[in-house]
Amino acid sequence: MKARRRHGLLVAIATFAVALLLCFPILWLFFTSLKTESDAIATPPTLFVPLSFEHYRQALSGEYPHFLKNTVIVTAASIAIAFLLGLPAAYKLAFFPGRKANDFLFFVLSTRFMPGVAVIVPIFLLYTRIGLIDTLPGLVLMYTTLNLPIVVWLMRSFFKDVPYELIEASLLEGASHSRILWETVLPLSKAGLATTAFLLIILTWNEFFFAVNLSGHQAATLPVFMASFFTSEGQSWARMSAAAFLAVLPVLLLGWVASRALVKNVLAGAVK
Amino acid sequence: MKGVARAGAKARSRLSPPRWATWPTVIYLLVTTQIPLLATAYFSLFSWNLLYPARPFRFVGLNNFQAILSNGGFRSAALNTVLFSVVPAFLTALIGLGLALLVNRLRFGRGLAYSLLFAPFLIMETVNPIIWKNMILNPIYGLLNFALTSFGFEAVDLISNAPRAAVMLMIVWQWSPFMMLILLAGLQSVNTETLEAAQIDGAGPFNQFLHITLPHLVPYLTVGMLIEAILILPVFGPIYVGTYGGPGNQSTNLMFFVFRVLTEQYEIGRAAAGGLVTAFMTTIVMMALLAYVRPYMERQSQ
Repeated sequence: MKARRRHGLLVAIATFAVALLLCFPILWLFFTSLKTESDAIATPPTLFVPLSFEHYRQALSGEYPHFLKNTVIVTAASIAIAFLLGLPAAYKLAFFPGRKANDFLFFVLSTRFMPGVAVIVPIFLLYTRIGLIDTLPGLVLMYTTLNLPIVVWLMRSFFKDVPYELIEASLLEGASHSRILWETVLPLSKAGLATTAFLLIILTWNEFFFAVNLSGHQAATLPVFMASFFTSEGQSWARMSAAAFLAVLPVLLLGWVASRALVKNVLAGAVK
Repeated sequence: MKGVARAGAKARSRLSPPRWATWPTVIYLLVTTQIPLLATAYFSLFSWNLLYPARPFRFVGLNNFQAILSNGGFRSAALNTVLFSVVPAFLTALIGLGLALLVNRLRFGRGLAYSLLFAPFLIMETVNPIIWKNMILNPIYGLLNFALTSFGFEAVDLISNAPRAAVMLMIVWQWSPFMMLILLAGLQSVNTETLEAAQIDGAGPFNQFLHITLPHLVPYLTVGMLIEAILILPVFGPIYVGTYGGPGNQSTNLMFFVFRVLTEQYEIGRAAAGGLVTAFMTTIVMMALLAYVRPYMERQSQ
């Protein structure tokens, strides 16, 4: 029994050592952001130096809020539209799959797996022609495309947890499909909805290829801002670190809160 | 009898599936992915440069493909595309397996361990190279060389001398948590009774792993690596910020090649041809995934 406990402790130490090693680049980014510029690039690396949040104050009073706002709008809007369009499909596939269900699922998946370069040329041309280039709606349209397949796949598997008898009973009472989806199925799938939304937030928040191709300054999101920050002020490590940490912080916090639920639910969803 | 039959028919018609439910998804995806894909194919057959509006929009057949296929930069980009998705897929499988085995044995602090181990996957693909290129791999100020030289090794400059390794390092760091996640699902579904039976029969931990756990994980490893290969194939951020495809075009992949043809040369036809080749490569991996997963899904839906 004692050996077993010691074994458990060893596993824990090893796991957390590895976890810290894997997280080290992120921790170092945060640490660098608190230093002065000259301490940030000092060799050997400095450890015991005065730290301050000055760079954060600067970043927040600069352009960061503009790009944060764009990112939040684009993420929220594209996820909402993807749910709106995809939930009925997920409902049908979960409860009334029919013979073509697998073909449909694979078609949906294949659109998500298509690399951006396969469609970027005509999209870019069309956007330039009709004035959608460098606009938030333009980005929302493409991000909805990226999010929709994930909504259909994941929500379908979460809906499968709802007993079919419940749907059947409501139908026999004369309820319409949209009412059943809205009043019976969705309230029972809150955890699934949250998990799906969480995954979509990570993916949309961090998307870079469409953002850099379809936006200039006006509609640029945080990943584009970080790339341009790097090009223009790559030498100011501390300032850049502060901006970079601010850019990843919302998703990191969300991950901190929800990663356990994500591991459990996405896994359960993926295996089904 | 007749009444019962009619009631049954009525019930059945009430139980009929929602007919239009999949239409919004289908129409949206057709319009935003399939039509642009066709348009890409169409443009790939034409010569058209936005910088020279006076030049005619001219049908050139397969000349664009011929031009890019005989272009050394394109060939190395295609090769890099394969390299950047295959090598990280294997490396992350190894690392992810190690991580999953560790976490799976953890008895306390699982939530914290998940949060920490999952963090690299949450980092933006443009912030990832900022951290690695500057703070770790920078030849003068970076931590790696500080560590190497203080242990008496020679300093290295990965970004200039081994840009491909640098890009793959960033990809592996970001994607190992993803693999861990998938393999954890596999580990948690290993039949514990089988493991206990093996233990009673005298199988050591290594033999248990080799003969029970690993075979059970094979489908998870396969599907995980195929999905990863598909998702990493169009990797863009680490190249754009980390190396800008260089030095020269040593670390350019197809995604980045097309991006430059489109946004720097405005060669619409060639960019489209490059995009199609990338789509084709993705499709091959996707077919492999489909062929592997399909039997499982068919069995399940029966």
